[in-house]
Amino acid sequence: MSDRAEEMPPQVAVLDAESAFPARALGARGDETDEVLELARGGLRQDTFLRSFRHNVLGMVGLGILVAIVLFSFVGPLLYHSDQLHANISLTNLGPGKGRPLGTDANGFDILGRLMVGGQVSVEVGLAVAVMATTFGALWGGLSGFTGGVLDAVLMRIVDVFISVPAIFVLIFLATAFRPSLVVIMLALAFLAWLTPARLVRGETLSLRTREFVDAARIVGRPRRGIVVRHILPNTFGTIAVNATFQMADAIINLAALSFLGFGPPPPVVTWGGMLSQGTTYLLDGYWWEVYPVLLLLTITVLSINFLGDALAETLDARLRSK
Amino acid sequence: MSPMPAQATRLVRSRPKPAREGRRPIRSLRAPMAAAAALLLGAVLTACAGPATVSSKGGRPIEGGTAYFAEQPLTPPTYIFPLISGAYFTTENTSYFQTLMYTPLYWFGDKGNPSVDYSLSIGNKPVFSDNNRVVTITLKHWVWSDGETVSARDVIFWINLLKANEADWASYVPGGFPDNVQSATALNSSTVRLQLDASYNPTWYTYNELSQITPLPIAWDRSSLSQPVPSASASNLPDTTKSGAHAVYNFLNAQAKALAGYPSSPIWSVVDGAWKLTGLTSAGMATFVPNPKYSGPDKPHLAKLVELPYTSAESELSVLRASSSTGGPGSSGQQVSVGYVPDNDVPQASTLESQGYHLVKWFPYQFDYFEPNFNNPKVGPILRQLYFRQAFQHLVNQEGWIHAYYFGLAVPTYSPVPAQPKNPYADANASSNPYPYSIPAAKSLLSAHGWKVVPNGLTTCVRPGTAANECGAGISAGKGLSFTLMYPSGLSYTDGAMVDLQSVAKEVGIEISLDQVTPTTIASTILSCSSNQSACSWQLGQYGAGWLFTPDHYPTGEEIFQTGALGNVNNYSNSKADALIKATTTASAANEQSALNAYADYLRLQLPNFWQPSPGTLVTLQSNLHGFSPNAYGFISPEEWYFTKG
Repeated sequence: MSDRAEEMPPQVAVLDAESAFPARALGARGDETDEVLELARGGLRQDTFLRSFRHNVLGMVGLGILVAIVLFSFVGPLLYHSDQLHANISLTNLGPGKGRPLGTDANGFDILGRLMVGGQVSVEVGLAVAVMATTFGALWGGLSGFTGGVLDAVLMRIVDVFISVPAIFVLIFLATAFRPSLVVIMLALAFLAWLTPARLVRGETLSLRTREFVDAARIVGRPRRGIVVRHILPNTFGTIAVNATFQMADAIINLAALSFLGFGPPPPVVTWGGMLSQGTTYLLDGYWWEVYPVLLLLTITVLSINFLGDALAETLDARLRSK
Repeated sequence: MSPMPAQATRLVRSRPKPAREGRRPIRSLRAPMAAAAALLLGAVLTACAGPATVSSKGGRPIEGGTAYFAEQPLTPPTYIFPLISGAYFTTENTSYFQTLMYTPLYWFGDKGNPSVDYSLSIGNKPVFSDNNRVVTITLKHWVWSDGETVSARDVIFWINLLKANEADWASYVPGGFPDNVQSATALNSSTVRLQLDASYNPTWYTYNELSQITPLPIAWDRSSLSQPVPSASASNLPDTTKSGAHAVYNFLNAQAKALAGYPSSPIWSVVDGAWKLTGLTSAGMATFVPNPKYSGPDKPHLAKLVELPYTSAESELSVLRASSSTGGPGSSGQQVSVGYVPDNDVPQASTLESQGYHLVKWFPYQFDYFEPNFNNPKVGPILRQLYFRQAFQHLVNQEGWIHAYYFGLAVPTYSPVPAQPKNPYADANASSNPYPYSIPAAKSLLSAHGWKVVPNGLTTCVRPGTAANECGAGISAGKGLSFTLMYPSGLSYTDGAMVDLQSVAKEVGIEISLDQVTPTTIASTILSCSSNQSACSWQLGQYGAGWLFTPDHYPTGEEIFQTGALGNVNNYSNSKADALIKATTTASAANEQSALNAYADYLRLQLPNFWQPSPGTLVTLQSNLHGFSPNAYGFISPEEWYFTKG
């Protein structure tokens, strides 16, 4: 087998360095039919993708905001120093003023610094949950869709069962049953989040498994697992990537909701939901700085990720349409 | 006596909790507030709200009008029979509902003072004789609404029912009342004599034992509605035998569970209190009208009293803000005549005041604390060290917490016999803090006892052993000061205080993992236990409830600090403390105060619990409602309320 993908010029490289698109996938396997080559070349070039993405205004706005939030959360504390470990009860619930641009909360913590620390947790949880849920869900859905038959039915019924249980109930149950550390919450959120990518990838796989390049892989004797991992899943990248962004946004919202309801990670872990919960306690008392900044930040973070996901979907969809 | 079901017995705010065996600490809820706002508010409250002993009186009463009383969120009245089990023992059922209709033998809470008020009581001051082994109680002439006299037989009826069904009495403690009554005799229609099994402190016996008696009408002495109403003069009534008393209790208990039938019940309509129930909705709205045959000194001025249910404290506040701050005859629309400011909305006080409401601070007679589990297998050996408890208490910034988290509406706890509200039981030491907030003091204590203090790290034991400068028995080298502290959700001031404690403890290398759980989980977890039981895994526990002295009103510690007491959920055991507690219950009248002082002064230094601020309540009154007087034990007396011209 020749390896045409390896021969592809860099500009033909697809998004995923390993094998994100049919071209790379097929090329790596060396399926040398004209049709396959055509399909491979039909893959979106990186520059084409980026050009297309750059023209998506909402996508660029979302990306810009997200980058800003990441910088705010992770670089901000290096530039703006505040003690988020030691409460200062002589400074409780102070409004914005000199040295405390966004005021202080009920424990005397600086709100601006707290937003940064809370942002770190949100981004970390969002990313971790998106990666865990998407990876597991994609593998589950890929196996289910590709295998078909009884195994498919069993795997999908399991998904159906889990998806029919109210997520908030499960989250609260898990947070109550286990001490809600950050790791526990990540696992709990991922436990609920993998169901959607499993369904999506399974649907994609049902379509992909009848494609010629999959047949070709079968014919050359590729094992099932290899076909799923090397051929099917890479071709669902678009779906997975778009879904992952939404998973991240959902995880951030769910973390905030759990924390708001008092089931989030305990202090001293800072979460935006926990800040919001504490702030709303005093909503009627005029301590707006304890509510609106965090609410705004939470909203625009989730919005930016959704913009990014939508833009990604549109860009990839355009690629598919162009094929 | 025993621990009480954890629930708040505050004047207008309570925290319902699942009942458990015996009596439990009762708790009040308060909230934090801004530092700056606290100062401002303090000035406002100082001007507008008096101490608990101040009653809101003024103007010429107008007869009539409807007063609306705000119930605590989601705690409607659910049980009318005064012989109440732990499952129903809530403030709403006892202090806001039953006592309006069925007057206890002795009324406690004398215009805000934590003492008995004989003028409002059915019984005269009890007479103790035979070296305090005999109690003679004479009754004033009170009548039931059916015309019968409240008699000595009615007191015996209560005692008979209690003796036969003591396990169903929320305040029952083995060996306590009525076990310590060898015989109860009605000498005549107005005199009861109790022969006790030992000599008891008269004050203690009056405040903590006789306080539990509520005379019951003989009209209730039957086991079915179809039976004729018994006559008070009849002999061989069912309650005189144990089986008969069982049957009567079962009948009354069943009737008490039929809430819809309360207003029309031939049982519950026989009252001796100031009020008769005329309506009770499924949501918990209770409507009362005056009992025309009420024998007490203060006849109701109001035409009607309505207790209003709320689903949340915020909804009550919304009604307060949206409705008229004046009431009385002719007023209409939704209103709250006697309400409360939710814990976290105390900064709203000035707004409510500008609306016209009068605000009254109320502090119950209680102390507040959080608990170390002395039997926890991991940290019990550390918690049993007095020097460690002293160091830890030095980290509790009570004054700071009151300022930052309680909006100034709390009093510090320095003693199990609290100094506030003003009372005759606390000595001067109760007002001074033996372990003031001091991180250096905490560090010093730990260092002096073999610990390597690592600020912002983990302090570890480097000198194991039992010598005076070593860590103590059961603590091995390298053992770290790391604890889990469980506390209930839903209390904003506790949220803040526990975060502060966590961060302060870190400065002396004590790691505290905060574990916020539901109040239900707290109630089912913080239980007395042996170190080999899995139930003993809790380490530090914040009950979310202080210890309110009701229905045992004398501030002794036999229910909470005595070895094996039901309220001693953290397994404290100290033989000297036990002896001092015993002395408070058995001292002669001449020695009772010295015995109480000795107990209080020892326990306050021994730290069987960690003391923390005891919260109060900010009561709202319509501007033309008067006669309201905060009761130190949590009762209400709407018969004293009246409207003036708005």
